Amino acid sequence: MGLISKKELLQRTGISYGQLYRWKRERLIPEEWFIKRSSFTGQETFFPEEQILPRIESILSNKDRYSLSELSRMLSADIAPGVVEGTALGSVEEIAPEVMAAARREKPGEDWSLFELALLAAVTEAGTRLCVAPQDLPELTELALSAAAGGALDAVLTVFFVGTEVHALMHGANTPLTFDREIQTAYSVSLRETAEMLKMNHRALFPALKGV
Amino acid sequence: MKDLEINEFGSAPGGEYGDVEINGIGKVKGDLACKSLEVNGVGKVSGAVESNGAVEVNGMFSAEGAMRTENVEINGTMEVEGPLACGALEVNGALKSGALQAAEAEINGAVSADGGAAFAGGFEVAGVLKAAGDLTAGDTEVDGELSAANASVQALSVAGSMKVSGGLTGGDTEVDGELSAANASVQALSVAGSMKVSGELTAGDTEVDGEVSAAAASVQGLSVAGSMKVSGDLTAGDTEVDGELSAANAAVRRLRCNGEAHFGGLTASEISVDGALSSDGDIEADRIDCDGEISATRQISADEVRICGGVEADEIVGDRIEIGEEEESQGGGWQFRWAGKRIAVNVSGKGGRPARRARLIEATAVRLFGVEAEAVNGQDVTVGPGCVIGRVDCSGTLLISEESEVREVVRPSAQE
Repeated sequence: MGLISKKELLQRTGISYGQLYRWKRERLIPEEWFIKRSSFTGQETFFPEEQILPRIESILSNKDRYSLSELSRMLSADIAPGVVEGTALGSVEEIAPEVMAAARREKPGEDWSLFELALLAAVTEAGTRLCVAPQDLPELTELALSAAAGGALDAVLTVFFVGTEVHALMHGANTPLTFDREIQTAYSVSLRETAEMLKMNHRALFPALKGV
Repeated sequence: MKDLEINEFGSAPGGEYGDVEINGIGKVKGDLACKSLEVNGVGKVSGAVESNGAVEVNGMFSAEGAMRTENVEINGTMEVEGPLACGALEVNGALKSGALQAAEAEINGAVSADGGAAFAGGFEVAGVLKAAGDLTAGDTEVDGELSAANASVQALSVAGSMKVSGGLTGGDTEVDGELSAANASVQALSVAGSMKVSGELTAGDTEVDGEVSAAAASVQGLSVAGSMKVSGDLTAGDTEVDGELSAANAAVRRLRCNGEAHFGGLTASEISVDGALSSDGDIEADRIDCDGEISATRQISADEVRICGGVEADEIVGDRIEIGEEEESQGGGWQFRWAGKRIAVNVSGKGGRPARRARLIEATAVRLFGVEAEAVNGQDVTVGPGCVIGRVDCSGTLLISEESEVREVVRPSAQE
């Protein structure tokens, strides 16, 4: 798990101590992300880099649109936004049409959970980054769905090539992957961050957030 | 209808009568229906009793069935094996019945209801009322003793003792004596005596001059001049502590602590301390103002922290932190110099000042006077006289008094 020090975090994001601690009090930054480690200077605080940077970016992008308590609700992993009707999937531009079509074939006419939507958006992002051919996206989608059985939002999707074949792997966020030398190209997407982005961009799709 | 009068020793068959009077030892065999019933001796009805008027018992009376009558006045003892339903009930002696139902009641003696007790109107207990079942009443005044399984009343005033083994629901409640319940949900609550809730207490504006204890409490405004102990969570609006208040986790609106408050963890919008506030966990607020003592085992976190009294915490963090005051410095005025490298200066003695200690103090802007800390991090940092700091990491403006000691200073490197 990659960690970033508090000092470096403030330098990279440009936020102040006051902002950091205000967002912690508002539960916009989970307390468990403040990881204390002993160092030669005493005790220092670190954060999981893959989670904290996108989170701060989300907050900075949206803090003028929503109140801190609204943001806290939207970003909370405890919120169960219900399911999205299959017919509404078309409005989610973060999911490529080929991925959408493959998903609908797997689960025709059914509703989709936030986890599943985040997975499809993650497949789209990984496919784009790794230049997966459009005709290969359906197979990648099926593989990802097959790997995701019983998965949860705190998982990470890693897409990689074995030769010319594309594969999908679901693993915990704190589980570092070390591939053998045959595998040179891989891309990982955090489902939690993808889910938060979807909630932020498509509030109308999630009934439980409508009161916010 | 014919009246019935039994003097000395006699009996009569059950049936319908006019006015019935038992002066000796009399028995009615069967159900009795009458205009009125007066028992001055010993009377017994081996059935139910129904009276259009009053029942008055000055001696001893028992009915093997139910009783339904307009008004009941008991100066002696009455036992009704079935339910008793009446208009006004006045008990100066003793009453034992099944379920008890009255429009209104004044209990100076002892009443034991095997079922529940329901009083449509007002209800006063100067004596003893024991309801094995539920109590339902209008405005209730307990100067004696009252016990019930569950109780649902309007305004409640307890000068004596009231025990509810289950839940209590009430309107505005005043406790000068003792009140205990498993759970309690009332409107405005004022406790000068003692109130014990083994489960959850829910109330409107609450004033505690006596003692209150609960497993959990959720109230509106809270004022504690006496003692309030919540073993679990406390939720309250504006809270003022002049006495003692403790809870596991507390979430309040504005807290003013002139007395002593101790929490597992505390979240508030504003905190003002002239007394002593302590937490086994964190203290979080938008603003903290302390002229008394504040301590947290873990973290004190607020946008604005101003402490002139004492403070002890593992971490004090926020946006603007000011601990101590300039006027505390001795010798009139103090000098600063830029610190860009390791320095070591003597600490001037500051006898009589409360302890101000933290492992880490970290905020956008930090001003410290007479503070001991292992590390101070901030954008703009002022270390005033009397401070002993291990390490200062400052990215912006740094001022260090010559009357303080700072072992190490970290500044942005040239590349940053």
